Amino acid sequence: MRSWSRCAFGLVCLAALSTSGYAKAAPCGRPDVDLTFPAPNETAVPPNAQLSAHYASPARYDDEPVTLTDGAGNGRALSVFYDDAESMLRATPESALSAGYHELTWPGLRGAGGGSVGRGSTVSFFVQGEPDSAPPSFEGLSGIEWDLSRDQDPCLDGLQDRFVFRLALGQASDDRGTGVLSVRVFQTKDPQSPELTAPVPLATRAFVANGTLEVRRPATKAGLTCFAAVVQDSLGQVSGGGEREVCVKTRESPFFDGCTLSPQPRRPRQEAFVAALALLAMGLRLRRRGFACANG
Amino acid sequence: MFPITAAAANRCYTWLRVIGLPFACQAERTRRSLGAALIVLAAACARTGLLPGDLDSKDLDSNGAGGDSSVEPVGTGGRLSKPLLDRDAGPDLEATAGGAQEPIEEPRLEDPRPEDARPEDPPACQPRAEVCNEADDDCDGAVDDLPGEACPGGGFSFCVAGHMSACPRRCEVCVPGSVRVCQNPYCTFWGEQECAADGQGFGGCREQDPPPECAAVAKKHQESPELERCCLDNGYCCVDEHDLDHDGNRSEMLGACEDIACQ
Repeated sequence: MRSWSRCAFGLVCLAALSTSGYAKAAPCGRPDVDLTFPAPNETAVPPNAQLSAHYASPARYDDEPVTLTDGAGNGRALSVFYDDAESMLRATPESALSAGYHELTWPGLRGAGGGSVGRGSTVSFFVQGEPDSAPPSFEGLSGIEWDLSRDQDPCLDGLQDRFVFRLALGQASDDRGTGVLSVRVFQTKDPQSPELTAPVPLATRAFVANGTLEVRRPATKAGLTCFAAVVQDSLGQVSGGGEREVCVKTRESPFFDGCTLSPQPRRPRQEAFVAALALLAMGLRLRRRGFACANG
Repeated sequence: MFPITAAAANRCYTWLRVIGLPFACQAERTRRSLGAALIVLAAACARTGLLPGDLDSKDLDSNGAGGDSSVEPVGTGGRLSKPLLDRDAGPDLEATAGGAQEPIEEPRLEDPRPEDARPEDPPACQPRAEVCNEADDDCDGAVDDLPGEACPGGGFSFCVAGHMSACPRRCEVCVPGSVRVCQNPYCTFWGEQECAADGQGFGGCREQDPPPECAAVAKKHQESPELERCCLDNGYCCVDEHDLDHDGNRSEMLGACEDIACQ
């Protein structure tokens, strides 16, 4: 009995572990801070850096405070601006940052639809070196891979089909190193909009040297899909490299949304078996009747 | 005197085919006689040694290396990467799902052909103001390194692929998690659609009981313009399935959609 209960407990634990990925998924539409500049623990932030935080969903900014303190605990004055189009809270120090440790707290904001308040973020970083001056350089995107994915959407009951594109980043450089660079990704050709002329901004990410970044697009229509990217430094100065497009042709999703309920088609053998059974039953019945009549 | 070899004759024949001589005329008879002339020309060409070189001396694959013996795929490591010349071919040449491909690069019209280029006399860059045109106008070694242009609604527009990008929007299709009203063709005739977590589209229309103010309309008119009108009049964001604004768009949203739409 005891071993049975242990087994049951183990199974429950396994089930809990296997579903923990879903439990960790961000709640539907909550505007958590998902990206900050500078990144946490960045060690070479220039004294004239602009500070910003990106929120995962559109948010509503109601003058929630952004606080910046230096290593001695002294607060620094900031001018704060929420960029609604980019879901980005930007903070510009009113004077150059002093060298050393700083702690920056980004507030949690309420969702644009008036939903729940998202998670803020507290970031530590070190200021050192000369101010950022020269714009960055960037080779552009250097490769592309794609795949199909069925994502469990936290807002919907069903699965969502997405094309997942992994974009390889070319070399980049900046006078203050690549740790403070951000990448802006654009879609330049979209099978859903063949007449697309103006590249569409898709995402802003932290630059990762020799890395890849991932973008997900609706898998409603397949075809030639192209992307390009530029990088920005801590002052917002823009690189070249955006002229280099990477393209791939996707194919239609093999998934389908479901089937209507209908009886399974019977196989000929099954039908023959059923017919034989029916004949046998009829024969038996006739025989009984005949027997009864003969007796009657 | 040069001996006629099969390879030489073949090269001549290929070259003459490339210049399109025998196929300029569609008439069968003319084509046949031109074909015979082609064979004679090929033999003569091979005999005299006036070989035009390999097929790819014209660098048809634009790889800058005329004389390579085949049209190379764009990129070498990609599985099922495709030749540039075949980039508009049918879908049977495409990668399968999950395929890793080398990028299909756009052909550059300004790329000089090898026969036009003069390596000993490179054109000097004449610096001028950088504009968004996929060229290094200011001769600083970077193409289109232009600052972002501020957009009226926030964010910036950047020069990408020779065009200024569209201005950013707070979401792509809808605000994640927001809900709009749709109409069902059965039962309650009222439903709700929720926006996906990435804002890239709505989910399916889930049946709901209509609100009290529209319950009678739903019962009487079912799925109808009257029900959509009731939806709008009572302050909901509603799918314009009956095109009440007569703009021909039945998938747009009308009504109180400020917290749902991306604009």
